[in-house]
Amino acid sequence: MKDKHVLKIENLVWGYDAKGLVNQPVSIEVSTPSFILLLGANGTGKSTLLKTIGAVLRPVKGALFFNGESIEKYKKRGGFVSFVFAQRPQVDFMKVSDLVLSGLYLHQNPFLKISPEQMQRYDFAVKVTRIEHLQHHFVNKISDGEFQKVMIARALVQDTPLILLDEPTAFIDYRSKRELFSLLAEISRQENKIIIASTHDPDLAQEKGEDFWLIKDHTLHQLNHTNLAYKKLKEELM
Amino acid sequence: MKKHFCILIFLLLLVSVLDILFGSSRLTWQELKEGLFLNQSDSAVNFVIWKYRIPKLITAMLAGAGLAVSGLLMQTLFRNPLAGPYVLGISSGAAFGVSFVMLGTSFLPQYVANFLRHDVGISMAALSGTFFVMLLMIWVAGRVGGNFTILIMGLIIGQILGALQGLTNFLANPETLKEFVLWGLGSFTQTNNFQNLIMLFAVFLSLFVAIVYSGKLNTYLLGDLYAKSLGIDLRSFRRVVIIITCIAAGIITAFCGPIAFVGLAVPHLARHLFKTYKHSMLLPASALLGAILTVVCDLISHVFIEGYIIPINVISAIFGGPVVVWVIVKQRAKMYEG
Repeated sequence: MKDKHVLKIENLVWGYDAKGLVNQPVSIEVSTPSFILLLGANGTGKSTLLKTIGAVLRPVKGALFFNGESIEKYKKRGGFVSFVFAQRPQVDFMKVSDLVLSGLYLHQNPFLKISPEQMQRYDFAVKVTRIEHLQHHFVNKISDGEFQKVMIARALVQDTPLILLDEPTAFIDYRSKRELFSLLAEISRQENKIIIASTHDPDLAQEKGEDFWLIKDHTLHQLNHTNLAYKKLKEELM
Repeated sequence: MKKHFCILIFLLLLVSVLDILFGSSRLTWQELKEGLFLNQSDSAVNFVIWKYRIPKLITAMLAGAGLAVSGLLMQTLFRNPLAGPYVLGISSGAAFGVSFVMLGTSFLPQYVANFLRHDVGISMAALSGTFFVMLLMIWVAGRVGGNFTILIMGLIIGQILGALQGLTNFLANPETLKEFVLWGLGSFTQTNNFQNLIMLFAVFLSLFVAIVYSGKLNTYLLGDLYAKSLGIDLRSFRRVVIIITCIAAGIITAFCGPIAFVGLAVPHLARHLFKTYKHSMLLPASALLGAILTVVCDLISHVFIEGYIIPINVISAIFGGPVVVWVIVKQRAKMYEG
């Protein structure tokens, strides 16, 4: 039996100033396994919410707990949450393999070698994201779509109970998009993870999503297949 | 990689021996051997080697290594290839301190002014200038969030100090002004053994701390968000990087003057020769390459015109520049072909 992980959001208001980006504080409890799609128009605060959950930003109000501990106190953040941000870092002479392994930073002293288990995980990650042929390329020379796959592989190697992805498929072709969403859903179930991904793609959300958080009119709506509101959501997204 | 390092160490030894051989007057192999290994403290050759050439060689090596490491740290801190050890305003701080002491003390009684204008006084002035800037930058880094803001603050502080220095220049008499301009061109000949020891300590301290931080430095290159998401406390990280850069670059500048070019160019050279972004490799590589480059510059500076020493800043950019440009262009071309 795998450990159960719980993400608890308590009276959370997020944003960049005291007013925040939502009207009402949000309280949600999520436990493993979960695959949540975060939907909303530009500027509604999707990225900001993800960054706040991952403790990269401080909440305006409220608190976040992971397995009962305040996430701000999680010193070794890289051990419980992995991120795929929308920005693309530019590092000269960094190879794809280096980038995929860079999430292991906290598990690994810079002078130590990568363990066989971590290497196995690496092989798995590059295989399922289909980037095996890119491993020895320089990061600055691959396409934007390939880059997003690399970052997803990186999150998989980091192997954290919580994975947050900000527009992870913006540059990816439709077939790979569907594959990646299926993959994320499957990983959340099989490996017992909480995965939250923001997306703009209504078709995909409708097809692959099970749980949704929709931010609209400064309010976060929690929806799933069984909600009556789900039908309305579908209409709204189409 | 190991082969690369062995070649660099060999090169450093080679240029060091050449630097000792070709001083203002040339020594023969025989003289070198006797001077180095036989203890004839009364011979002139022995005196020249131990009292003059070896201290200068050590100063050159340490300055090159320290500035190259500082330059690499600043390029990483600002994720900007144009950054060098002096972007924080360290050289402006040192220059202002020196100009203030050299040019602004004429109103003091003669014996006080002479005391201050002595080598030690100049070093102390430069050191106070750099440490003032360091404290200011640490304060700034603790207050503002983004590294871009820190970069702009460094530039502005540099500009303000530059303007103040312009004022002292304006008020100075031509002779002391020339002296000040010469200080600004850099020199490895003004240091004594005690200063070398301090430089040794400063350079090794920064190199050591930087190597301990190499994992964080690598992660930091991915951007603030990724660094934060892995739990790096950006403020304290930036503070440490600023402190070790200021200590190394500040002390070197205080003792040798502002040595341009090495700190900007050598990290690029290291990256292109070793084809890596990893700091565990780049830091020692930059230190070795920096040391080699400054020793070669020192060598060039006194072989051209017998009896004269051309200022180091003149040599480093004129002779070092084309070499660095050539290596980078060649490697870039290769990268895009392959």
